[in-house]
Amino acid sequence: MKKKLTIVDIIIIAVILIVGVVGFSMLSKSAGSSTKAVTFKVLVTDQLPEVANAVVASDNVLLDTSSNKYGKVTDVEVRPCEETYFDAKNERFIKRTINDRNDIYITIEADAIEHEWGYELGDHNIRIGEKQVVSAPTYGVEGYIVDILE
Amino acid sequence: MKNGKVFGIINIIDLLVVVVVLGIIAGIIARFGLTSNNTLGNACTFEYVVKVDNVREYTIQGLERKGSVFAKKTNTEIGEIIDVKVEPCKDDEITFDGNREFFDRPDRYTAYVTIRSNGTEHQGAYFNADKEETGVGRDSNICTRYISTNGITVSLNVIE
Repeated sequence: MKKKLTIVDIIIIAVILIVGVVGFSMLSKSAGSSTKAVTFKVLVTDQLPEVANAVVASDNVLLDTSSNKYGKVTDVEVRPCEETYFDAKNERFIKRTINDRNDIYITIEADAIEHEWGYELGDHNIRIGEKQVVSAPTYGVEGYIVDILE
Repeated sequence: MKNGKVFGIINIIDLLVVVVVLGIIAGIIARFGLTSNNTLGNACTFEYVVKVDNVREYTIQGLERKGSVFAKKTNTEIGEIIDVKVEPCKDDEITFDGNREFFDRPDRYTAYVTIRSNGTEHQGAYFNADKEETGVGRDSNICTRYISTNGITVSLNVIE
């Protein structure tokens, strides 16, 4: 059976080709990104000493639950937690240490996708000021990224 | 309809297929925005200053690394940080005698971040490359390669 191509068939074939070319070029652009090991520091404030003791260098930690992105803790620094309050009588701010509370600085190395605009790790970006979950089988904390070491 | 063809030219099924395909194309264009950056008006370069208030030293260090600024949602490049001025953060508090006064807050800072942007002007309003309006009093996100923070635009000057 011989069948001729109709004008509609030609339009559909042309549209599919155009969508294919556009799709390929868009995917090629995102494929220009590469994976790179990035080291960043997360500050978790106001934690019990038990939590500070639980976080150990060399832990493998889950950093993004939706995409199962892991990283490795390379350093942990624990400092006393401080708070600032206003002393109305003396008209000045005063800093004081809170007993039994610590600030934990966790340095993590992870493989992230490097773009011109920054590093992408699963559903979020690694940028100073972004929230970051750090989760291991025995603990789970949330803090903010405070430094990116390149 | 004649011989199963609309206007005697095209089969009803073919017509439906064409409508669906055109719909898909329109959807793709709407989603990925194939329109030009300059559709909003005249191209221009402007500088605006964003006041980023009550932040820690880490944020200041991130801002001082400068570099390109990107739109938070689309990652479109919208400008470049050209200057960062830092001063102690002043917090307003009620004093012992009931007055409201400003005092330096330790370990907190206020940054004035100057961003140069190639955008557009349309009817007296200024838009960045992500088609977001920029002006005094508006909230402004600052996302660079290293930092994500926000503040309020406190001045805007047109350069050219």
